[in-house]
Amino acid sequence: MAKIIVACGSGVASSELVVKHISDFFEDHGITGVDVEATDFKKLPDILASYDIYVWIARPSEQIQTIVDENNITSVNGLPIFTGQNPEVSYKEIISGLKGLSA
Amino acid sequence: MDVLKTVVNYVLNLGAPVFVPLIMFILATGAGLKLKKSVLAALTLGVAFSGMTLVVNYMMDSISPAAKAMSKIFHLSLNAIDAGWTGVAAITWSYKSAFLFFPLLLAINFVMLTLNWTKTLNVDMWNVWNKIFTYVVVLYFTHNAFYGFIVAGIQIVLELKAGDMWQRHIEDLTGMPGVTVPHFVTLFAVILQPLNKLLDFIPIMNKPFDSAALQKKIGIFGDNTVMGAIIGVLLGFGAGYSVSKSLNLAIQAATAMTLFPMISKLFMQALSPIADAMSGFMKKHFNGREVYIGVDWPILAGRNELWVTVIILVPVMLIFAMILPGNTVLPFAGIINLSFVVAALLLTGANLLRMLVLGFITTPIFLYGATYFAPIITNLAKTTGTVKVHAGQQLSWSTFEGPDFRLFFAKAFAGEWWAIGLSVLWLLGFVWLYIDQNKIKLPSQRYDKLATATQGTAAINVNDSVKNDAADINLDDLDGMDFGASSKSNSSSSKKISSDNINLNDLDGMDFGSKSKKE
Repeated sequence: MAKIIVACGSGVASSELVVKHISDFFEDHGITGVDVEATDFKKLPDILASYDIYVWIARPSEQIQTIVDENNITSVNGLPIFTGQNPEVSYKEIISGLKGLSA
Repeated sequence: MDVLKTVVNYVLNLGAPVFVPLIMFILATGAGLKLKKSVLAALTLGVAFSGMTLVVNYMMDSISPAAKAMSKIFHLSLNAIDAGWTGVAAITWSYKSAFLFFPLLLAINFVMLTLNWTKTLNVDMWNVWNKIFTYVVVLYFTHNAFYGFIVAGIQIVLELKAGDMWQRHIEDLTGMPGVTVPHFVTLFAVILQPLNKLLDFIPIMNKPFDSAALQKKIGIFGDNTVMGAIIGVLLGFGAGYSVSKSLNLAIQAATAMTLFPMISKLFMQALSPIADAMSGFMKKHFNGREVYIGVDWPILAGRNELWVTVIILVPVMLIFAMILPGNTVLPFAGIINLSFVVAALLLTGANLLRMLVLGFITTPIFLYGATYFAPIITNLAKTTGTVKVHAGQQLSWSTFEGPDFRLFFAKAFAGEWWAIGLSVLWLLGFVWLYIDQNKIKLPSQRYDKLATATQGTAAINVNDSVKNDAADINLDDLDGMDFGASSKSNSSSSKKISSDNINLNDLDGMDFGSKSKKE
């Protein structure tokens, strides 16, 4: 199972919106086997390491970037999805990240 | 006519958990959603209401007796339980005319963009709820729905102007161009502005402060579950409970704190089809024009200063709640003061020391706001039937959003002269803020050496682009390469597949069930 995480302030509104869009995108394309979850920034450093792809809407801090690098996580700018301006850019990066995963 | 009246009354009397999802279903179907999706959205909304009722009642049942016992021991009157923004938002969404505020927001934004009065296009449809809530507050004081819409309208206009004024600062703080945060909470900067100007005279306030290390140390206390447990156990001891009873309260409090955001997520899931349709409509009409896209505040949440400030303010808020005379609110679910910190971050340009000082000074404003507005929140909970509030108990929100604006304008429309005066003063304060924010230096250049933080983010970008096996690149051999479609995420992994070759129409049926990055 591939795992994607999105983070925002409370893990409620913004991240959930992005999660919903990504899930809808997967559903529309019949893509399966991907878990998309929302969380809040306070929790993120503790759980990020176990995910495959991090879709961010706030630029990763140094601490987050270190975790991303050390655990070989694909980090994707989710702002295009969040604002609705050219979301395809983010989707492509997510798909490329997924394809790069090993079976 | 009588039949119609009977039908309308019957539908209204179904109660919020049935009535609002019904409206949701009609709107979603009207927005062209597939039947399956509109049914799901409507049901999810109903589930969200019931779920929130469950959690708020659970919280009140476990916290209230302890709060009562503690109040008795310390001679306090903490009878208002704090449901936080998630709880208040849930109750607000169940208000019967809630959905009217989508078109109101769209219409005002549409007119202001067309007339070039703003450059902000607000696509943040989640925070429509704080306009609904303002309406409810005004209605409570004035008993006049029209005034409610007027004040909500004023709020929308001010938010859009705030979006214009914050944009360049947000770009500087986050490195993201073209986005802004036209959020109601940023308007608290009107109150913070004079205080912040006074801090200019204190030399140490003009020094930067590295918050990254501090964030790592205290970050754990900001976790909802941990914080709930700590408050629970403290409350238990304060109430004179035994150790075992206090520990049980700790788990119950942690449960409530953990479940709040989980339930709130359901609202977002349910409302997203409407939100998408609305923001899609706006974007279609202003396509190709240079606008700032207005989104919710978490795009700023990458700044450590924000989290360090709210976590340090948690004990401050608890202590103030104990010692402020007349305070009735026991801070709990809303204790992370997001209603303060976003405005403070933007206004001070992420200066940690200033944010802390301002937070300390203004914490009483929020607690008194919460005390003052507790009857309104309680009343709203009762009229919508979402939460059972027992006699002698109140429901509130310890970090009540925009207590200044809501109090002044609601009371002004109720015809109180002091409030009319303060509203005018508030508006002048906003004009001062607007002018000042347009000419003040950008956050990264404002203080002596505040460059560290922004260098941090810049450095990440550089690393990202150079990391790609930079050693193998022959600088004489670059001619004709096209980086137009590549992006910085082409990072570490050698197994990485370029996203350029992916055709989004050709993905159907992919299954990642057996994949993961761990081999």
